Amino acid sequence: MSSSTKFLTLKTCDDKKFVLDEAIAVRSQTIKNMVEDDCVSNVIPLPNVDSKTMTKVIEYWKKHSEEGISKDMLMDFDKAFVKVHHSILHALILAANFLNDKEMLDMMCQEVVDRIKGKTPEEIRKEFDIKNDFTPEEEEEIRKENAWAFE
Amino acid sequence: METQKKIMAAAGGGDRLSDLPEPILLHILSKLWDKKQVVRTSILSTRWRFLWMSVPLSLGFTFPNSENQNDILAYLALINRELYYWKSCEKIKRLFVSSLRYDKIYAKDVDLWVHFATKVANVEVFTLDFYSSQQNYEFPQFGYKNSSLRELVLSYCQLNPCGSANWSNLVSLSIGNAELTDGATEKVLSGCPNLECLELRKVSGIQRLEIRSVKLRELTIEEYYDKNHDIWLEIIAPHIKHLEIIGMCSEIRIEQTNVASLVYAILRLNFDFEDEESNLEKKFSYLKELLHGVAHVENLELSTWCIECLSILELKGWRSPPSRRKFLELSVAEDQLDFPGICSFLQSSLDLETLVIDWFGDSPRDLLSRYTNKDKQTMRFETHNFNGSFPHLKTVKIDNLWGLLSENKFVLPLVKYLLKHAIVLEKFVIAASFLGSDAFPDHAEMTQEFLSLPRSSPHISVVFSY
Repeated sequence: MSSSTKFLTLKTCDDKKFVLDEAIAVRSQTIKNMVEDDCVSNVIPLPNVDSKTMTKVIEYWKKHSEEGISKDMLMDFDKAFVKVHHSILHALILAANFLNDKEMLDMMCQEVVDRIKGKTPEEIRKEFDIKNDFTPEEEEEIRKENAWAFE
Repeated sequence: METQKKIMAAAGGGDRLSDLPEPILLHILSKLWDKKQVVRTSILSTRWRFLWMSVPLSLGFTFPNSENQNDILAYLALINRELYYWKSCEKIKRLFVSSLRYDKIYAKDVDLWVHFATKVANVEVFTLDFYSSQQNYEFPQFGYKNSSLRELVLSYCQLNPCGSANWSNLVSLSIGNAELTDGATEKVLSGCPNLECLELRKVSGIQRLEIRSVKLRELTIEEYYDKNHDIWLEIIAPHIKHLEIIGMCSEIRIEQTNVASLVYAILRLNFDFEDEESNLEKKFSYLKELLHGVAHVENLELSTWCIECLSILELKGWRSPPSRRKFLELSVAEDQLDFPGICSFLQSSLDLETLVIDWFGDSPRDLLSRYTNKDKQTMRFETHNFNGSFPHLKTVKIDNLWGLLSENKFVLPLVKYLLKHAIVLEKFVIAASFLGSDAFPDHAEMTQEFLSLPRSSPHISVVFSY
C-alpha cells in the first residue's frame, strides 16, 4: 500500500470539480472499476450527477470513512441524512445507482420504503407529489379489478 | 398472463418517484412488508398501473399454533384464496408455507400450492416446512418437472417420482423428516443436473447415497437414522468439496477414495452414551472409520463428543491416522480430561497451519470418567511424551472465552503446551464470546504471562479480540 494519498478529480454534469481522496472515492464501484482498469486520466466525468447532489454524496462518503467513528454516531448521521425532500432523495438514488454504491443506494431506497409503508394510495400521492392521471372511472375499474387487495 | 403495456413515465411537475428506473422501483416495492400494499400502488398513476405485477415478491404463510381443526381449515382457505389472487403477479420469487401439522385430508390443498409454485407462478424458492405429522405428504407427480425452482425445502414430504424427475435449475435441495429409498433418491438427483447443495435432515431408509454430479459440492447430513442398527449409509460422492455430518446419526460410512475431492469436513456429531457397552464399541469404531475417511481433507471440524471419544480411543492405545489437514477446529469442553486425547490427535496433524479451539463450555465427561479420572489424565498430559513439533502451525485461536483468564485453569495448560511445541507460531489469538472491552479484565497481565512461558517460536504476537 502506498503511503502517499492519491487524489482524484471528479467533474459533475454542471461542470463543477471535486477533488477527493482516492481511498474515499472508491466507495463508488463505478469509480473503483475505472481506477483499477487504469482509465483515469485527469478528470473523471460524472455526466449523470449534478454538483448539489455530489456535495451530499461526498458528505456521506466522508462521514462513513471517518476513523474511529462509532456505530451510534453513524446511525444518527444516516437518520438525519435521509430526512430530505423527495426530489433530493430521488437525485441521491439516481446518483448512488450511477456511482454503484450499494450501501448508499440501499439506505436511500429503504427511506422511500419507509415513506410508503402503511400509507393509503392518496397519502402516497401526496408524499411524493404523484399526479393521479386516471379518470375517476378508470380508477374505479382498477379498484374493482384488484378489490382483494383493497379489502 | 396479461401483457404489460409499455407506459411512458407520466411524471407531472414534481413527481420524481415515478421517474426512477424500473428496476429501482421494483426493488423498492419488493421491500414492502404488506404485500397487498404493493398491489394497491396500481391506482397511484398510469405509470404504476401494472408495475406491481413485476415485483419479485415473497409470500409466506405460517399456520397458527392451534389444535382446533377449524382454525387450520380457515387458514388453508385463506392461503388458497390469496394464491388465487396472486396468480396475476408475474414474479412470485418465494413461496413459503410452514407449521402445518400435516394430515392426508389436506393433500388436495397442498397439491394446489405445489401447482401454484411449479406451474403457475414459476416460483424460484419454495418451502413446504410441515411439522410432526402421522403421515407424510406425497409430493405430486406433476411437481417433478419444473425449470424455475432454484431452492427447494421439503419437510415431512415423501419423494417418489414415478418417472424421472426434472428440476433443471435447482441449485439447493433440502429434504427433511422423510423416509427415502435409494431408487427415489437416485431418480431425484439425476433430475437435478445443476444441484450444488444437498441437505438431508432426519431422513431414513437410504443405504447408498451416490452423487456423481460434478456440480454438487456441498452435502449436509443431519440426524440420519435407521431403526435397524445393522444398516449403514454409504456415501459415494467423488466430487463433493464440503461435507457436514450433524447430530445423532446412525452409522455413516465414508471411504477416502469415495470422497476424494473433499476439502471441508465438519463432523458435528454427537452420540447417545446411554447405550450398552457393546454399542459403544461400535460407535468408537464408527468414529475411527470416519476419521480415516476424512484424513485427506484440508479443513476439519470436530464436535466435543468426537473429542470425548478420541480421548477414550487414545486411552485404548489408538493413534489417529496421519492426515493432510491444514485447518482444524475443535469444540473443546472445559475439562482437562480431554487434553491427552486432543494432543494425541494434534500429533496426527503435522501439516496443520491453523488451529481453532472453540471453547464449548461445560460438557459432562461421564463416559470418559468411566475409563479414567482427572488426576490420572493430568498426570498423563504432563508426563506423557506428547511432543512432536508442529512444523507449520502459524496461527492458534482460542474462541469463545471471557472473564479472568488467570482464574481459568483449563486455558493455561493448553496455551503452555501449544507455545512449547509450535516452532513457527506467529499469532496467538484469544477471542471473546461477546463484544465489549471488559471481556478480559486481565488481558494485559495474561499477555505478559503467555509471552514469558517457554516457547519454541521466537516471534509470537498475542492478540486479544473482543
